[in-house]
Amino acid sequence: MDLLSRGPARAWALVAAAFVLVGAGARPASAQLISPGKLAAAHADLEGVRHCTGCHELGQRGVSDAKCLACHTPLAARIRARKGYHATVADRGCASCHKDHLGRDAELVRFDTAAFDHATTGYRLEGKHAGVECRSCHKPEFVADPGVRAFKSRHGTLATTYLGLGTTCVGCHRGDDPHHGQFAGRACSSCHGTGGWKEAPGFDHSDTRYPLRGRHADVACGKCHRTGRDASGTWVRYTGLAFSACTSCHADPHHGAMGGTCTSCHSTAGWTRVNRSAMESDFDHATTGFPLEGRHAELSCASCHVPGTAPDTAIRMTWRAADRGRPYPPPLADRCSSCHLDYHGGAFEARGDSGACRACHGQDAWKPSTFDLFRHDRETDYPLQGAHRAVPCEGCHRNPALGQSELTFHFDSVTCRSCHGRTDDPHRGQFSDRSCESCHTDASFRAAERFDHASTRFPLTGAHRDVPCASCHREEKLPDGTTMVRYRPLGTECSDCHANRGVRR
Amino acid sequence: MLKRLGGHLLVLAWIAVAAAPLVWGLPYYRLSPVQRAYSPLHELFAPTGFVGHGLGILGTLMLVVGVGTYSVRKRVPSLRRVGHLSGWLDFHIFLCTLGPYLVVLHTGFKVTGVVAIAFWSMVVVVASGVFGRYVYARIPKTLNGRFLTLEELEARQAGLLEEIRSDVGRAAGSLSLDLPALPERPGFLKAAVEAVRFDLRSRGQRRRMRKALERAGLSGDVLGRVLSLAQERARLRQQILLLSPFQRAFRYWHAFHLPLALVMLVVVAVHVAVAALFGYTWIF
Repeated sequence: MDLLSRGPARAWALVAAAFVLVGAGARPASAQLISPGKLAAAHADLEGVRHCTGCHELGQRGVSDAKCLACHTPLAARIRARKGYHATVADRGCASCHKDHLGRDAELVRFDTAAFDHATTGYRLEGKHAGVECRSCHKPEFVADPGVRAFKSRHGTLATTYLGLGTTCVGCHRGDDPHHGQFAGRACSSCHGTGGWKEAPGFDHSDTRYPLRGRHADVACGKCHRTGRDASGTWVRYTGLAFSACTSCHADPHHGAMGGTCTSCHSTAGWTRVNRSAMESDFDHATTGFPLEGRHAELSCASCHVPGTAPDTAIRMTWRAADRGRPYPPPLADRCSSCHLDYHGGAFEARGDSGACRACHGQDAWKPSTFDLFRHDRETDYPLQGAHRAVPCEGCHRNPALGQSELTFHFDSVTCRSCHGRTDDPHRGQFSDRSCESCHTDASFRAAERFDHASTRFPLTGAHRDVPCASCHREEKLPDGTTMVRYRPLGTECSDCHANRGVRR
Repeated sequence: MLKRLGGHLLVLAWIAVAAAPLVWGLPYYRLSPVQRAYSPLHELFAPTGFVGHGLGILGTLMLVVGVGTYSVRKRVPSLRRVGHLSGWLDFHIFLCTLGPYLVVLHTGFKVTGVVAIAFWSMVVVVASGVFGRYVYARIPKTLNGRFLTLEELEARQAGLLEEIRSDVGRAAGSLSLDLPALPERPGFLKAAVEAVRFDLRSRGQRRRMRKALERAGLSGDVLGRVLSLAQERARLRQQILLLSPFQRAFRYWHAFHLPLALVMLVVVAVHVAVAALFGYTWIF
């Protein structure tokens, strides 16, 4: 009944049998004799009792970090260089995160990617990067570090590593250069941030050869930078744009009429605002087909080109071009009436030249007119003679006394009385039965050269011939207080003039 | 009475010691092996953790003490008078069930490598111990623990029948106390099945016998006494049947229980040595 009393041979045979029986049940593979569990796939070649000290230091709990890093050389190098995430947790043991002996399929790199602070790697995820899946960037093909690439390829873990990415944009965005090499050699980050490719916060047009000034600063990029197209697709052209002339981008609404240099008048402040000082000093108005001559050359642009501010109100300029939506007169302003109102109210329109101003006026001034006495003699039906030649034009053409408030160039008749008869009849109707010319010429009214006293009822004979006219033709006072010389009717009797003082016999 | 109280206290102590770390560590033990590794509780309850490792050490000490003291008490003649052997057995059972349980917690229900031999040895030893205790309880013994012989058992049965007859005033056979037929010379397995079946049926059988006795016109104290006599007879009959196969099995069991325990202790020694070699010395 007592085992030991039955002889040691049988007892130990039973011990051995039990050992084998139980041992077979546990299936201790030689590799697993003292291992607490299978190693992960990446460490599979470290499996087996002979390799324990490959990771473990005898007498020391857990794994030896030094032994980990002796194999994981890319990581060791980064920790030494104090770079990357692992350098920030170098004080923790490797196994505090990377746990093994949990089976072939267990993950050695296991962490909460959502909670991971990527800034600890030395590369803060900002902007669009912050919302990107880890594996969008941590792909085998993006692993740039040759050391990491070699190590991970050798161990078949290139697809699972988070190590080895560079920090340049092209490291991941190498396939998507929408600029088609226009900026080859320049870092994407010199213009773009992580907020998205569409923005370019680092780009300043002022740093280019064509700084944007005035209205250009407000123009959408695409207005100038148009989409190009070639066999490889479409892209927006940013370099190689011609910009030396405005017409590189802008159409010329003047169709060349103003010359090719827009900047002689315009600035980037806007097409509708001309550069007055530049224009006044530099612009060659002759390019418009309307050379500024005479008085025109002295005027400020605004005299003609800014509505309502014409300083010379006498010109009575109207703003014609405003009707066409352009702040300057039509390019072919060959008519004065393009700017000036017809002072004469169309009085000359019936003329063969339709009343062109230049027929009488030059560009130096409206006055004096170029219509002089000679032209008056030649071109009118009333050549000026005698005293008429010395009369100012207004004496006949704008004489309020004649009822002319405006210049008047048309007369229904050209008799003396047309002008003179209305107010200045010194004879007070004594000769209303005859014309002025019957006595006077247009040399002067003072003389009555055509008057012959012999043609009267009282021819002068004898001593009468030497008597001054006033001896007989006395001045009379009229009831209205004025005076006139009495010519008729006078008596023809001697006593009509001479007093009867007694005959000396 | 005192012994019974001591037994209860032992059971209570067992439950208390067993429940505390289980309840404490349950959130950890429910995790998968991989989840455990990354759990903050790993520091405490891992086999190498403060609690986990401590449980392993405590459980192993219980096993060593439980096996050692009982074996020594049984085998060293000069110690034969130190306490009742059944008390030492109780102590042995207490330590050698609680110890393995704590070792199970230490493993975190996950055993690999060479130490699995120790573990499964332990499981088999404990299982065999539980079974042995069951069989041992069913081998008729004197108060001193000496196994009764078949002749002694049959004499006791005859005595019982005579007691019943004098109580009732007629032959026991007339009381319709017939018991179900038992297999002739059963093997160990058949006997074991029969033993379990008897245990499961004992309550129903008592009810049936009580009804039979009532039908025979018994009542009051007489009925009670005759009923216990009849039950004891039924158990005796069972024991007579099981005596031979169980005693035979128990001999083999001895050759099984102790060697496996020794195997376990040897492998545990290796396990402890490896752990210590790799620096897992708990608080030391």
